[in-house]
Amino acid sequence: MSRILVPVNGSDLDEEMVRLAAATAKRTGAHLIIVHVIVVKRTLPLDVELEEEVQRGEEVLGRAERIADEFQVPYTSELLQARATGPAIVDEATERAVDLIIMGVTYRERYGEFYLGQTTPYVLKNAPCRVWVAREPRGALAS
Amino acid sequence: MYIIVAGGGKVGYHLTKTLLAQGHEVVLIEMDRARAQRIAEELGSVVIPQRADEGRWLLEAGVERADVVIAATGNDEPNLIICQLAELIARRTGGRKPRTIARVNHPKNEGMLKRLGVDATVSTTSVILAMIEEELSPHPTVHLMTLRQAGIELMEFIIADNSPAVGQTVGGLALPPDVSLPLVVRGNEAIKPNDDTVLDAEDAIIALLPIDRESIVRERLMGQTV
Amino acid sequence: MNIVIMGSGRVGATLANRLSKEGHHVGIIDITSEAFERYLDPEFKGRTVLGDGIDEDVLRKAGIATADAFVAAAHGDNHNLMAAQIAKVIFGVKRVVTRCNDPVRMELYEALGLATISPSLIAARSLYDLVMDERLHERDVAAEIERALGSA
Repeated sequence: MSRILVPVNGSDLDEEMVRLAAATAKRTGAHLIIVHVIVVKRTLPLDVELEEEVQRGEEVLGRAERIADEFQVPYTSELLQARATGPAIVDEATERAVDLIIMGVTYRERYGEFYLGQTTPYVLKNAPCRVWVAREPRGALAS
Repeated sequence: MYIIVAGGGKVGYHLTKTLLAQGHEVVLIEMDRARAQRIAEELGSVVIPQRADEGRWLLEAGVERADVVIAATGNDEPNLIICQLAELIARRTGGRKPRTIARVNHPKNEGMLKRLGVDATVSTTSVILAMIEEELSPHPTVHLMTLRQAGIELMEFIIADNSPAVGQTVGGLALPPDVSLPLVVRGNEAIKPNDDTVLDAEDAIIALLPIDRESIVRERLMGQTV
Repeated sequence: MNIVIMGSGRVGATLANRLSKEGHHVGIIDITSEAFERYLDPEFKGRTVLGDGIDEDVLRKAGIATADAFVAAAHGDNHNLMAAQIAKVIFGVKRVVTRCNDPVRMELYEALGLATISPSLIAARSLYDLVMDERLHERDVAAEIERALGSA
């Protein structure tokens, strides 16, 4: 395995996912690619400068980078601006010829039913490589 | 330019694809989810899978920063409403007014849409008629109405695989001299045929003919009579 | 008054029947003749016109040129809004009322001077009022029905 991509969005799951990705990278000798996607609404041009979001994104990436340092694995971190998260992750994975995507899903409900969101199904369907998805425990919704 | 296309049928889809290739920023609003998804898979995240005639999705598309809004659905009423909503929403949100273009499917509505505030209209029927008028250049002002009064009609024939016209030249069809074929549409290409043009299966042939010639033209082109 | 109504469904035809009974001159338009047969009273005295209400010729046949009011009561917001604008802008009809269900479209076209009403919003409001009406639910409806049927 040579490249592992882990998307981070600032949720509580980030740390666990980055640890899993870093441990896997360490074991297999892979390079870690940490990605945060800023979704830009269509009311704004894609290349607009979103100071607040960029600052927050850098913090989110910074936390992930510290974990990668802890594991002593080589990494690249990237802040992307896109219209939708799923396609941005898939494009990045394709461009960088990634072997594995590791991503977390929060337990969410919509209309009283479990809801996987839009990003995870998109990545599962369209990513060229292997995808690992981990869901947080159900209780996390209440806490 | 930032262009919003409403309606992802054949017209809207090809338009979106072409405009993207020309380097414009484009978003397509298509209400059929399956179709929207298919287009997004090919063209990327440029599709909003919703109804463009409901104001909120034009709002979400950022209509107030759009340079052009093109309403390209197969129905004239939503096309009018989409253009008007685009203008009203842009005005309401303090953006500049986008240029609005509506596809007109029923030629009768073309003037009406303009009178109700659409900046420009495009009608396939009018485009074909314009080409025919060009063809009849000695009389450049022949209108469809006059044609009707003169007992002449405009028809489209699609050549079937088993038609005797496949592989035949236009001259070889030996059509009556008062029948003219101003246009052949082959795939995306419009051809002005001459006597040596060889016809192929699935060609769409636009014919201008006296009403009483319909059966003979049909027979020569389709191999059947009515 | 001279009134033209587009759409002879339950809403349009009920309105047409009432206006006709009150002695108004009514022209009603629909794309199917079944709509007239199904919903118009046999006593309806107005004019029925078969055709599309966004067609100027059809509107003329229904009497739009001398109409004091136009009601767009067909299904489909876009269709209604287009017909209403033709009545207002092209024929200069003073009172134009449009049936429209999308709240965003309603608001924007009201700004253009078209009166719009949403049957679904009105129905939801009425249903809410009935559901919340305490007096109605304190009555023992089952017992009342039983009594009514028993006495019949």
